Amino acid sequence: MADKIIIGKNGDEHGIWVARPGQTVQDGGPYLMSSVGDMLKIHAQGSIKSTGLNQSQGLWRHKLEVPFPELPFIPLAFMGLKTSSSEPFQFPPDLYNSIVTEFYGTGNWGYVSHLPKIGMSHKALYFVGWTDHYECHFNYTVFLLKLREKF
Amino acid sequence: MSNRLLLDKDHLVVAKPGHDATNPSLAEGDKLFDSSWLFSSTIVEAGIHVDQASYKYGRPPQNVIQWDVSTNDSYTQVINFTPLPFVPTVLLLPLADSRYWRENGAVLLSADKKNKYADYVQRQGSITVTNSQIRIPRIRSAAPNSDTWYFREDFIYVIMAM
Repeated sequence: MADKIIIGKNGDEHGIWVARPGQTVQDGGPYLMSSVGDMLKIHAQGSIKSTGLNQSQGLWRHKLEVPFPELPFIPLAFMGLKTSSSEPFQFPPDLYNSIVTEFYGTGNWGYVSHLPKIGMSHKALYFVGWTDHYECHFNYTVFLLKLREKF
Repeated sequence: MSNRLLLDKDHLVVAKPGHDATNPSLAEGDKLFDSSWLFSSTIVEAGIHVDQASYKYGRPPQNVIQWDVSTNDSYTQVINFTPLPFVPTVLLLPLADSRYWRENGAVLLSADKKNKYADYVQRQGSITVTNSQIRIPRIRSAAPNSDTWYFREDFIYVIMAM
């Protein structure tokens, strides 16, 4: 039997399966939807205006901490700087301009290359980036998808 | 009251609140799900892979977040997942060194090592995906006649049902 949608028993399991266009549930995965798997649901989404803190070589440095409704875990999140609130952003962001190299020892072995705090906790996003705009937008999407337990 | 569900033998549509799933002109943005879509963000598995390789050097005295940490270990990193009947699409996102996550209370993103180091380093092979594994050969120093070293790498991985 060739089913596009099964709600009920499928082999030894019970649930919902929806096959991709041109496929049947009996063809196997990947499924368009399966009650056995998870889906990329959005927990928080938004756009924050940001103004540059300092300028170097024609670029403005932006630094943000953006809270979202607290979760019991650290979620997957996409984020980036753009000129408008609705403009798609590159992710992962190119953090090359955010790298800092400092010298603390002797000879070439004394150099330490480091980044500012850029990432996500269970309740906030942290971002530092450079753009050629003094005013820009920090666009983000936080998914209801657990990466790891919160710290 | 709007009819938010359309279900027949070959078609399932779930509309957002206030929208009619039986409307053939229903805008895509007003749907939660449509079985005609090619992909609906179904996730097989997601998580964080922490590199278990040794550290070539101790932690520097400054309280800074390192992202390009060296190791003498050369082995290929492997992320295993439950075998699937297909080879999935995988998203890998590089992370800054895991030593710094807890004290910052966050999982920390990294820069692309090739952007900074360019031809001075090279990955020892392609990153490959099978129906049960992601294999990530290490990036190593490329300069001849020099001390050979490799990078530690931590990742976010997302295995998608597509």
